[in-house]
Amino acid sequence: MIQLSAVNFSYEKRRILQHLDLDVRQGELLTILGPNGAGKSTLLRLMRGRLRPDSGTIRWQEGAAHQLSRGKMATLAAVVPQLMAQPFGFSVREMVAMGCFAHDSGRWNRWGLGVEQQRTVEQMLAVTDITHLAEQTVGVLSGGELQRVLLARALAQQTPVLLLDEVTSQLDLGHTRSIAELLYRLCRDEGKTIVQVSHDINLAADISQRILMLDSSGAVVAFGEPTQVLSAKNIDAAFGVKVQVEKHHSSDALRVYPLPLRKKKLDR
Amino acid sequence: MSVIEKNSRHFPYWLLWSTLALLLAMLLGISCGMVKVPMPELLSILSGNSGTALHETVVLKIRLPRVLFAALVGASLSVSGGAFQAVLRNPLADPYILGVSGGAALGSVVALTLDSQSPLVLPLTAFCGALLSLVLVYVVARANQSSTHTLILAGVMVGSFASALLLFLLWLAPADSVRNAVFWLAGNLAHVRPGWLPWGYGLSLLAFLLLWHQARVLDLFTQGEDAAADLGLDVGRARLLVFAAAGLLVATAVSMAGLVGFVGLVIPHVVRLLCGPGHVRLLPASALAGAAFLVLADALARTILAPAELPVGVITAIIGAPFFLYLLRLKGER
Repeated sequence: MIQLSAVNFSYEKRRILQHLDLDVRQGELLTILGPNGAGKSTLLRLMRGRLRPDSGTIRWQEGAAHQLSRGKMATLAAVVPQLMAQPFGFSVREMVAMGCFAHDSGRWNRWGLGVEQQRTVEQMLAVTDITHLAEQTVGVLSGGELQRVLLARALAQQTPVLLLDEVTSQLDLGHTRSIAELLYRLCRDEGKTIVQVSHDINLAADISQRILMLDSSGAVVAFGEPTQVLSAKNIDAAFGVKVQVEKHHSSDALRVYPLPLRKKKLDR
Repeated sequence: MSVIEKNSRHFPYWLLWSTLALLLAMLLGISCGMVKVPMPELLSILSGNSGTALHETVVLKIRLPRVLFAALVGASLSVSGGAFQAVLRNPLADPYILGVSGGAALGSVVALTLDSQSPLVLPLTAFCGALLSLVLVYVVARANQSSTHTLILAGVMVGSFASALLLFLLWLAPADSVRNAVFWLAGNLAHVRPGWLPWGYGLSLLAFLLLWHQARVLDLFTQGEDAAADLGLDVGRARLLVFAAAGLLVATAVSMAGLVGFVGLVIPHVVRLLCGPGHVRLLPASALAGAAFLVLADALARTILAPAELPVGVITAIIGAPFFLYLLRLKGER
């Protein structure tokens, strides 16, 4: 789906990604894990052609990422960005409807949405559990609600690929779970390809087919299936934190527990 | 309830009310002045029947063009303000505060010192001045995207710079034209030549239609340039188009009325509260409301110290500057 080979990238003098090879497969859910500043969001920007690598190539079936037009890219990949302030008082429904621009920019310039588009919008409001908020102004939403709005808008773009930047960072336990289930179903039932950046290691273990783990210098610590990647040794190498990794007793899923703080040592 | 149903349910009423408000404001504007024309006679003159010769001249040759100019300037400034607020993603943007009006004024004065009489040269130089200052402000503000206040500061500085150059040019110019220009700078509708009316309306209508056609693109811009690009918008091209159209509106307004500030700030804000942030509705409603607002402000400027005339920019600034401070405080509280 997306092929990255030998990608290097740096902002001015700071190296972000080093010699990255990655082949995102169609229909998989790939999670990118790593500490702050490792270049996870940058990697998503590179994938959708918003940044150009210093060296190496990033190819879609349709061509090199940075050569595809914004309009074309918006039909291939939808993005859920990190949260930002919403100074204009659009309603939730109007926000979600903006996702329809991707497929119908010609019609978009006219006055409203077509019947088909309206149906899409209502469907995406429902699957992200925000139908009851549809008439609300986005300015008054909580962070978690706004994240679901942005996810619904990305889904309304109806693209084969979703690029999600910490889409569950502000969600409560219940909504984290339901969004995780939604993402899993989108991959399994609709064949969507999802690349997500996350800090939730257990969630990544649950729903990812593969995990790419970066360290703070942007080098690859490990890449592969969750059971291969999520080891205490790898997590220590990436995050500098000691953890305990266990298999959950009733399933094969991995659980990662950070070891308790050593308070005696801190008190000294 | 779908978006379309909602729009079509509210919008025609809005259009109706704001058109009515504008017509009333214009009628009031025409009836204000030193020569008292009784309302029945005024209406009959306006509907094409004859009144006394003096009254006919006053109403048709003096007041009607004046009110039509005021409406045009108010509408142009409001629509451009609404467009700037969307593209720059900053609810405090306004052509005056952004220095765009200042650039346009500088351009106009350059044309005046060249002493050109063509109705097109003035708006054209004003347009160049407006675009130049807009690009300058944008380039500076872009370097520091996270801050909304950088944009405003950059705008104020570019505006100051333009007015310094402008004063320098005026200082070089002969004395009597300076006096006129100073009043014109404060925002004044007394110096427009009636022959410019069709040109002004033509240019502004063109620019307005261009912007209105981009209404839903402006909606996308409110999400920020990054998000708009991810939603499939060719941001560079769209931004250029909006800048050009909004710049043309400002240039037309400034070349006719000088520096009338804050209309583009106040009107889109009030309209947004009344009929929502969607630009399909916001732009035409702002145009009508802005036109009504400036017609009333101009009527006030003409009558408050009659027979002397205040620059209308004084009235709009007295209303607009406190409004700006209020918004600034509101933003701080959030």
